[in-house]
Amino acid sequence: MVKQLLMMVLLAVVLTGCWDAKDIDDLFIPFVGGYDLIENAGGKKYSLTVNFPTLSRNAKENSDVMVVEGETIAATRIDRGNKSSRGMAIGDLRVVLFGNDLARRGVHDVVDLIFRDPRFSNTILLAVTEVRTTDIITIEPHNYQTVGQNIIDLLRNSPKNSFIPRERLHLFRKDLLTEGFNPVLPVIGVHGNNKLKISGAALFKKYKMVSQISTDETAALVWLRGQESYGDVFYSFTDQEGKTRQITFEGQNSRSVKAKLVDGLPVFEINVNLEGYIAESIDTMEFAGKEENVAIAARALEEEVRRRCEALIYDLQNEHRVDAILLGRYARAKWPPLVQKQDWDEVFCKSAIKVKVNVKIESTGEVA
Amino acid sequence: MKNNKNVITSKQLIFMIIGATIGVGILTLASTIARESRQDAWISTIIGALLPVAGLFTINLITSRYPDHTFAEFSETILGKWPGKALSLLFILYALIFASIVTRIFVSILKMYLFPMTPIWALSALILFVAAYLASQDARVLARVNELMFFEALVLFAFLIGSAFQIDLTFFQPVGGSGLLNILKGAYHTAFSYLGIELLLVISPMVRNKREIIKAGLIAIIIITFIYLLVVVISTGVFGPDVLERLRFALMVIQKTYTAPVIERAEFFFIIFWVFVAFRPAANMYFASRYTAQKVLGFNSPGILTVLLFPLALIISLVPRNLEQALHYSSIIGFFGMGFMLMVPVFLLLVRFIRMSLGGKHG
Repeated sequence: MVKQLLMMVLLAVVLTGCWDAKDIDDLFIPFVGGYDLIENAGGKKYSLTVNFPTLSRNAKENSDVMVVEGETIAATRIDRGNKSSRGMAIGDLRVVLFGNDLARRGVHDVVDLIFRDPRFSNTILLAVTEVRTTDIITIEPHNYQTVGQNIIDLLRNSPKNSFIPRERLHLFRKDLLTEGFNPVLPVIGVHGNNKLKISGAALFKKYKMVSQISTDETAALVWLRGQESYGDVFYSFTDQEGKTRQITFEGQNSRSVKAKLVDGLPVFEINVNLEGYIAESIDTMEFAGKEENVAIAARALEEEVRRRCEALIYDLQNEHRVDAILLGRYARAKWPPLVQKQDWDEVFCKSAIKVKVNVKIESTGEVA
Repeated sequence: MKNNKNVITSKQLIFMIIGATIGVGILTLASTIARESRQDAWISTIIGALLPVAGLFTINLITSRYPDHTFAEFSETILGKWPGKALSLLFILYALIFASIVTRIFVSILKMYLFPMTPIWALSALILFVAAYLASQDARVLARVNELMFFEALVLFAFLIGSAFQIDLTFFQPVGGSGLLNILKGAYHTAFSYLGIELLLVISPMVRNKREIIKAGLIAIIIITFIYLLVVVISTGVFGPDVLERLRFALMVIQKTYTAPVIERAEFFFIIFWVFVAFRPAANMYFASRYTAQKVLGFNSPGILTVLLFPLALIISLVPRNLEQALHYSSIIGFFGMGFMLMVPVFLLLVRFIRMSLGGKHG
C-alpha cells in the first residue's frame, strides 16, 4: 500500500509538467504572419507583421497587428520580446506571406527559420503579396473578425473554386530542395474597398521569385502543373452555323505526362484532362438529345485550353525561363544527369513540349 | 530455468526482440540512409537486415550449447571465472550505457517537440524510472509489457498511412541509380538500427521452447524489417531524397505534412504513442544489465540491484552535452553492440573449441 502511495505521489509530481505549463492569457495566437524586406541606406532589415485575435474582454478591437523588425528573421523575435507582453504561439500560425520585394530578392533567409523550428506546422499555407505584407495584414475586413481569417479563407478555399495553386509549407520545401522542381505561390492583392483577392501566381526559380502571371495564365499553370483543382473556364467559339457561342465550363483537372529523349533533348507530351459540366451557355446550344453539340462544346474547350497552355509554355520557355510546370519531376527520374549536372530550367527551355487536352462533359445542366 | 517467473514463450521472445530493437532510431533512420543511398534507401534497409540475421545465428551457436545458462554464466564457464566476469561486466556496462543513451536521445527529442522548458534531468529521471521499474521485474512481466506495447504501437501505423497518399513514385527512380557502393554504405548505417538482438545472450535460457528461438528471432527480424521498410518507403515517397537527406527526424516531420479530420497536429498524437515504443529498448537493456549483474555478483535481489544501477544510468544519460553528442555516443555504443552480436559469440566459441581440443570440460 505504501509502495503504491509513493508511486502515485511521485507520478503526480513528475507528470504535472509544471515547467512547460503556459496560460492562454500569457500568449497571443497569430493566424497570419507576413515577412517583408526593408532596404534603406542603413542596409537591409526584415520585418514580421502578425495579425492575432484579441482575447481580452476589455479589448476594443477584435484583432490586433504587431510589426517587429530585425537584422534576420529570427532576430525579429528580439524586437517582439520588447514590444509584446505575451509569448507567441507559433504552432497556431496558419498562413505565412512573403512580401513582393522579399520574394523577388529570394526567400532563402526566411525559410530556414520556418524549416528549422519544430513548432511550425508543415501544413501552413504560403502566398506572395502584391504589395508589402504589412499593407495587407493591416487591412480592416468588412466581413471577417480578423484579416487573418479572411486570408486563411481565401487561400484555403480558392483552389476548391478556381484554378489557383495551393502550396503548403511541406510542398514548398519539396519544390525548393528537389532538383528539377520549382515552387509557385498564389499572389494576394487588394481590390475594391479594402477587399482581398487572388491576383495571379508567383513563379519561383528555387528561392527567388522571377515573375508574376495573371489569373488566366494561372489557370493554365495549374492544368499543366497537374495540381488537381476545381474551377470554371469561360470560352467562346463560332459553331458551324456561324453563331458565336459563349460557354462556361465547371469541373476538375488532372494531367499525365509522357517523356522521351530525342537527340539528347527531352520531348514531353502533357495530357491535360478536364471533367465537369456546362454551367452556362449564352445563345443556348441545344444539348438535350444532341450529343453532337456536347461534342462540339467539348472540342471547342479542348482547343481553348490547349491554346492557353501553349501560350503559357511559350512564355515559360522564352520569357520567364523557368520550369514552373514540374516537368523536371520526370527528367530527374528518367535522366538524372540532366537535372543534376545542368541547369534544368535551361534544358526545359530547349525541350519540345506538346499539349493534348481531353475534355469530358458529364452533363449540361437542367436546361434542355 | 528454475524460477518460472523468468520463463517466456517464444512468442513473447518475438516481442522482446522487437521491443529492444525499435526505439528512437526509427525517427532518424530514413534520413540517415537517404544521405548515402538516396532513392535506393529501401534496398539498403533490406540488405541491412542481414546483419541481425547473422547475429541471431551467431548468438544461437553459443547459447544453444548452454541452453540453461545466461551470458554471465557461460562466459565464466568458457573463459574462466575472472575473465568471464570481466566480459560480463563489459556487457553490464554496455547494456546500461545503451539504455541511458537511448533515454537521453529520447528525452532530447521530447524536449524539442513537447517540453522545451523542462530540464533534461527531470525527463531522463522520469523515463529511466519507468524503465527501471520494468527492469526490476522478472522476464515474464517485461515480455508482457513488450507484447502489449507492440500492439499499442500499431496505432503509429495509422499515422504513417495518413501520409502515404502523398507518395510520389518518381522519387524512387531510377532504381539502383545511387550505385552499389552507396547502397552498401546505406546498409551499413541501417545495421545500427537493427541492434537489440544481442539481448538474446541474456534471455535465450529463459525461453521455454529452445528449439523455437531461431524461428522466433527470424519472425522478429522480418517484422522489424517490414516496419523499417514501411518508414523508409513512405519517407522517401513523401519527401523525396533531396529533402529527406536534409531532415533530422523524418518520421516526426512526416506527421506534420497533413491534417486529419479530427487531428489537426498529428505529430503531437504521434509522440504520445511513440513514447511507449521508445522506452522499450531502455527498459529491455536495463533489464539485461541488471540481470547480468545479478548473475555476476550472485546477488539475488533484483530490486536492490535496479536501484543501485539507477543513479549510474541517470548520470550517464546526463553526460552528453547535447543531442549531437548523444547521437555520436550512440554510434560508438553501436560498435560495442555489433561486437556483442557477432564477435563475442564467435570469440567464445573459438575459446571453447580450443579448450575442448586441449581436453578441458566446458559445459
